[in-house]
Amino acid sequence: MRNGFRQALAMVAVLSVFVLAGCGSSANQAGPAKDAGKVTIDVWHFWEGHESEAFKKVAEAFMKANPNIEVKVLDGADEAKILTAISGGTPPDVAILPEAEPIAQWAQSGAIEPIDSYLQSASFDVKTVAPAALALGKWKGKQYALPFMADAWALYYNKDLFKAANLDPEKPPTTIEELNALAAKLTKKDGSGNLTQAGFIPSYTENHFPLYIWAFGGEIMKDGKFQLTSPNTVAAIQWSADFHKKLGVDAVTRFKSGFGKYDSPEAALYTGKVAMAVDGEWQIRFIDEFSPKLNYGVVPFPVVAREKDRLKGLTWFNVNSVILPKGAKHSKEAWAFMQFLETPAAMDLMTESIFNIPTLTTSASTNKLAQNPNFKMFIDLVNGPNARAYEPNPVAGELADNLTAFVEGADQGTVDITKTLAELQAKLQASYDKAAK
Amino acid sequence: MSRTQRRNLWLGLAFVSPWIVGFVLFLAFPMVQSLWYSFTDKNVMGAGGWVGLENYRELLLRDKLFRISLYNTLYITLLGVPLSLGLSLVLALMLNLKVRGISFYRTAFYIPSIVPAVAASMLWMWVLNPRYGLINDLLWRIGIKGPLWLGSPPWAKPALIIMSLWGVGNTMLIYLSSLQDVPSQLYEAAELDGAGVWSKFRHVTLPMITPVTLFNLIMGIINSFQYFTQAFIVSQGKGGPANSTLFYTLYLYQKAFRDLQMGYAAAMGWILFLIILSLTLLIVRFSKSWVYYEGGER
Repeated sequence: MRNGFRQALAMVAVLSVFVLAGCGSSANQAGPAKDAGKVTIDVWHFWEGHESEAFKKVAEAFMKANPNIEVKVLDGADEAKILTAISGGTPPDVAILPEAEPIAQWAQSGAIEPIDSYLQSASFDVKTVAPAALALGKWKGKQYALPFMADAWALYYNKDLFKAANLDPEKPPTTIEELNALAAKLTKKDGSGNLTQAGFIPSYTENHFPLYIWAFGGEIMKDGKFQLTSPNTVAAIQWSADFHKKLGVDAVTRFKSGFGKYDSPEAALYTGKVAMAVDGEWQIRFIDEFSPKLNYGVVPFPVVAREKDRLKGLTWFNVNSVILPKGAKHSKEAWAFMQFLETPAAMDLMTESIFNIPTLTTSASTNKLAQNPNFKMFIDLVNGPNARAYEPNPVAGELADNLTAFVEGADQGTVDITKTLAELQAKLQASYDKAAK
Repeated sequence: MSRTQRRNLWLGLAFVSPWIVGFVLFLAFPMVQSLWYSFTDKNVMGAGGWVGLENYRELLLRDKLFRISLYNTLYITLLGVPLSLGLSLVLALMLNLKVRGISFYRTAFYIPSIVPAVAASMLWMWVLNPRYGLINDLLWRIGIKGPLWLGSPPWAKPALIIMSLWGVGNTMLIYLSSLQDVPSQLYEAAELDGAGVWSKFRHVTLPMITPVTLFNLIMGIINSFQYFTQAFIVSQGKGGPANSTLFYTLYLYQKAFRDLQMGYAAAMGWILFLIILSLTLLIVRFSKSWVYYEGGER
């Protein structure tokens, strides 16, 4: 009997060791004792590698100007990580998301704090934030996020291929109609029907259907009501589908699958496989690095002729969003950091390092990148009246995925465009209404 | 119960307690919790009230993507599981021969099944590339213009099935060991009765391995219904092109982690559980008519 008791005791002892070891290791590392009066804030962002290094410099500049605030930066934090931290009660003080889409959904779920009261007494001029960029952080009349740098899309074209087809390289398309005509002249096939050069492929690098919808004067959503069945929207999708049909659906897929790696000298744009392509502002730097001899031009994406004046300077853009998570402990200092990001000091420092578009109206005059006329065009587009993006909504992921799947089917020629758009309209509106309650 | 028995019972429980704690904390409790969530509107931040059967009603009666995901999952199950059982049996039969270097062949055929799913998916995306992939290249050499595989909605699922057949090593191994358990005197008796190769296979081999076939069938169906990783990698989590690779668990993942509708996703999880459970019970019930247990009930 004594034996049995000792055995049980031994078992309990062994178990307790394991349990205690497991509990103990989850304690946060206790740093060195904080300086008296110094507040430490956690800033999480998604950049890595050299871009993360650039952000560190921004944090250092902030700390120099605010000696009583210590900034601890965590890189490589994606949205899922940030959301988990917020819902688990251990959020960072400031978080930077790579896009604007989650804002409405997170605001609706109560994961982020509105910043209207802070903005009223802001130390920076809120009017210098590009209006379209600022609007992306608004939901139900409240401001939840500040933009920090943008990406935008425009049309790149190969001037040498234009010359080879007897086209004026200084006359890129300004309307959809011109795009159609020029693309036809710049498309070549070989004897067995395979494409060897495509004038334009709507689905390369991916189908930029929001841009096309807006270029046709259509809308995806306006003031919370989906507009997928409006005639211009349908026309845009039909245009993309017809474009693929004319080139040959199979031929396009085969052609695209043979393209070289995007960020390499073998990319389709550099090797003359596509004459015109929709791409972002980063492509300017990519061309410098991978294909410096490329004789190219970049212009805003063309729009339908009848809307040529109203939709001048159209671009599809997205911003990084700076948010104040719910439950963060040092909101005053966090706001100080957020404000710093909206000053040219921080904005120009970061954009010049990582080649993104600054989102201040003053950037065209302060930012060194604006000396490149192509890049300055992007800055102007983002500050212009036709900088377009998805309207803030809490079903952004579902919306994008559903429309992408639909457009893929439309380009393959396997779906009834009008009928499916009507179904998507009903389904997405129902999802939206439920989520936006 | 006597004192000794009681003491032994407590000792036994003490030894099993780590497992019991783990089971309760990480399996039983989350299961009950997810069942509760399936009747609510819960999102990731915890908000959301009781909605009763609304999630289930929405799923079964109105959700079009749910039906598409179920169709896709049934497609690869009804096509992929029989093919994988057949292929692994054929391979096991071949690897059961007494040929020189047989252990090399056994290793070679088994290794693909231990390549991690993510790495295998990325590898196969290149093998199935419509322009430069190995498969279309071979087809072109014999004069066939290969399909667009993962880039084409009707061919995406067959492409994934081919990819999964590459990894039949596990099933093949289980078949191999059961083949080796077939008593040789049965084969000798059959030969004495004048049975040829096919007859021996049909009347001796097949019946003797039916228990293992049952096991492989059930495991194959359970795994096939939960097919996720490869589809996620190949379609970047979108289930494309055009929802052709939107499988049940991928749609569940989208609902839970893209749309943050945890309650809805929990309901999907429980529906999947009930589907797999009923299928398994059905198969086990009907197994009595075709599974032969040597020395056991018939």
